[in-house]
Amino acid sequence: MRVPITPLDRARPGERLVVRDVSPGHGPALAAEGIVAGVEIEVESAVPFGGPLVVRVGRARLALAREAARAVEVEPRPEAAR
Amino acid sequence: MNGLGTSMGAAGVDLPVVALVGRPNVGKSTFLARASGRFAETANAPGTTVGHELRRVETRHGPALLADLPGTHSLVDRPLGDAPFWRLLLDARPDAILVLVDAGDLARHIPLVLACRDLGLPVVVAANLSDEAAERGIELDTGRLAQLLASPVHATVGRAGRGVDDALASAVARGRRRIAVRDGTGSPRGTVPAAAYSPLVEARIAEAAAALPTSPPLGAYPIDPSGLGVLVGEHRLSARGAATILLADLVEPARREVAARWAGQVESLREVPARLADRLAGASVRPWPGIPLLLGALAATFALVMVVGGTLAGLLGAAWGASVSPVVDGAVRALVPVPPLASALLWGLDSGVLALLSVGIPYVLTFYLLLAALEDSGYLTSAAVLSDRVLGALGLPGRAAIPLLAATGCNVPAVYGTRVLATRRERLLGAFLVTMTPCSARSAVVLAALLPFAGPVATIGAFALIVVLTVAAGIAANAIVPGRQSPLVMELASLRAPVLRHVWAKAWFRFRDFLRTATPLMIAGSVVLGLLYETGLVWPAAAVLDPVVVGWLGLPSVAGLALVFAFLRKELALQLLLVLAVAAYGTGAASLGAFMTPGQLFVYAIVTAVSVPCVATLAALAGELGWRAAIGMSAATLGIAVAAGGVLARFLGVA
Repeated sequence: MRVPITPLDRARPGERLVVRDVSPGHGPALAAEGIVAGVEIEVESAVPFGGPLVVRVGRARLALAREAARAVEVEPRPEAAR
Repeated sequence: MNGLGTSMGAAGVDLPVVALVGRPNVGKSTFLARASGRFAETANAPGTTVGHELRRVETRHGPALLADLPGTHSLVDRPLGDAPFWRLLLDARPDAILVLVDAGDLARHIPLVLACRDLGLPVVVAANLSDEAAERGIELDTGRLAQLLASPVHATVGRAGRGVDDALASAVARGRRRIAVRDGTGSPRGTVPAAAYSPLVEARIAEAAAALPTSPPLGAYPIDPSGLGVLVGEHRLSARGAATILLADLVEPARREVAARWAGQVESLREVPARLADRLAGASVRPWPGIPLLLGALAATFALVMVVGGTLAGLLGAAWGASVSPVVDGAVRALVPVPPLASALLWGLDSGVLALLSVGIPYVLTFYLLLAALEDSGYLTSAAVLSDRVLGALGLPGRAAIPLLAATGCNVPAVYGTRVLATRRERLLGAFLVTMTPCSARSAVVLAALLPFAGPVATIGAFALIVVLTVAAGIAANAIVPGRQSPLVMELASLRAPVLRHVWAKAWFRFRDFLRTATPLMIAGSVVLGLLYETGLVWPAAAVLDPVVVGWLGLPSVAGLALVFAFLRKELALQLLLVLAVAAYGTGAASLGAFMTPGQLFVYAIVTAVSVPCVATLAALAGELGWRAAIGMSAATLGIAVAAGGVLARFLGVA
């Protein structure tokens, strides 16, 4: 049973995700803010009409433009890890 | 002093240099202001410190120099877009590093502490924002953390000044001890940090360190051409430090892992209800209530500046006219026996100074106070997130909403307001859009020229046309200026109640800048205007402009002169026109409608509103972005104004 991997820009508020991969283009800017493979992300809100996503990584809140979010591949957090 | 050479104190003794390091948003600028007792440019938005600046401080371990550095994510980050942070840090020649971390998020901030420790310099940690951490139910065992780090750790609250002196004194003591060791008057005290990373990583670091000082190139590891080996040779950097910089990609994940582990060991967490500020912060970026809140904040800022500005302007003008003006008038006329010269001087000393007071203090200072309050509260980052998409089409980040709004009051503070933008490209595009935005003086010209003589529809039409021209110019500029805007990836600041003292200090600091730039220009420009007018040199000048003014724009000759002079005193655009008209045509021209048709007034209003901004704005542009950019932008706006005016004139049958 494969868990779907999707780009972060398609995520909806309230979703709790794990980062699987970050494409090289925006890698450094995202890594500097702590978005690297293996971290847990929670989507807090999204600004309408293609505006940025607001996500929580650890205790920090980040705003990511959709273009940057598209570079992050995520999958749903395993249910067991509450 | 900028860190080159030794920092000598009064008795020829070295003053220890303490470098202040931290991630963005950790409260570094406030901490520095508290530590040094002086405020400088500071904002609750990343990217506002430039280069490094040394400030003298007195501590209980003696005097020292504090080096302020830009906020950075890591040692290899390039916070100012050019040199990597480790270079900026080492250029300051620190004897000790005081690292600010967020007491509420150690896992995120400890890696930077580890990186600084790896450099081989003494490190002291200030766990800042500890009040907010406590409110979020996070308590730190600073003693345990100090053991793990083998460095002192102090809990601090920079905004209130708590713990700042202790942390600073600690760093100064370590700095002095390092100087003593270097000078041979003290003995080293186990400064090698205990290995924190996994054996594999430590082995790679040791390998790179061993290869570094003696032989460039390093074989498998590409050597950084900016000469890390040189720094090691000068004992400004340990070989291990150089190795960890070269191997940053390998070591950074190791640091994150250590940070997370140690955070778990020293934090104790309590369940607490969410802080009001945190709930507000979350709400401020959600579509509801975030967007209505933003529109409300923008409207309130605009209204406040216009209302307070307008009222103060009126009061100051009346007070000046009643008390100061007659005195200045009398004095100048008494001292300068040549009447036209005296009148010309009064254009500067009376009318010019009044313009500064009635534009500067009411509009500029008011706006700066509001901007400083918004910045200090942290709300600007929320505003930036919400406006990112809309302004992105113009090549600007969301943060640009504030200076653009300010521009509707007065362009001058808005130009300075573009400092909040992170890259030069953004500052250029932002400033360009600011100059296209009609300030209150230009809006007043449009209103006064059109409402009584062409009607409300024409007036609204004029403003609509200005908006269209501005947006089109913005989109064109975004396409023409090379470079791309990198997509937003930004940490959101916590919301905090603005501290009045900080707000006032920030606003006053910027206002002083404005006064220094604008004052000489306003006075000199007004005197030039006066000389040209009082000596009658004005009229021959008109002939030069006629081909464009009469031929292309279809306006009477005096209108061209008024346009040129309006560059010096934009708010006088209509008054000047009338004065010149009466001088040229006689008193029958005492009303605009008497010598210009509604169509001509429309063209005049548009050209005034869009063309080269006033001289104070030009000065602000030159100060912020350099003369080339300032002149380029002015030429562009003038070109757009004249082109649009001519097309309009033909369309309206005026020319």
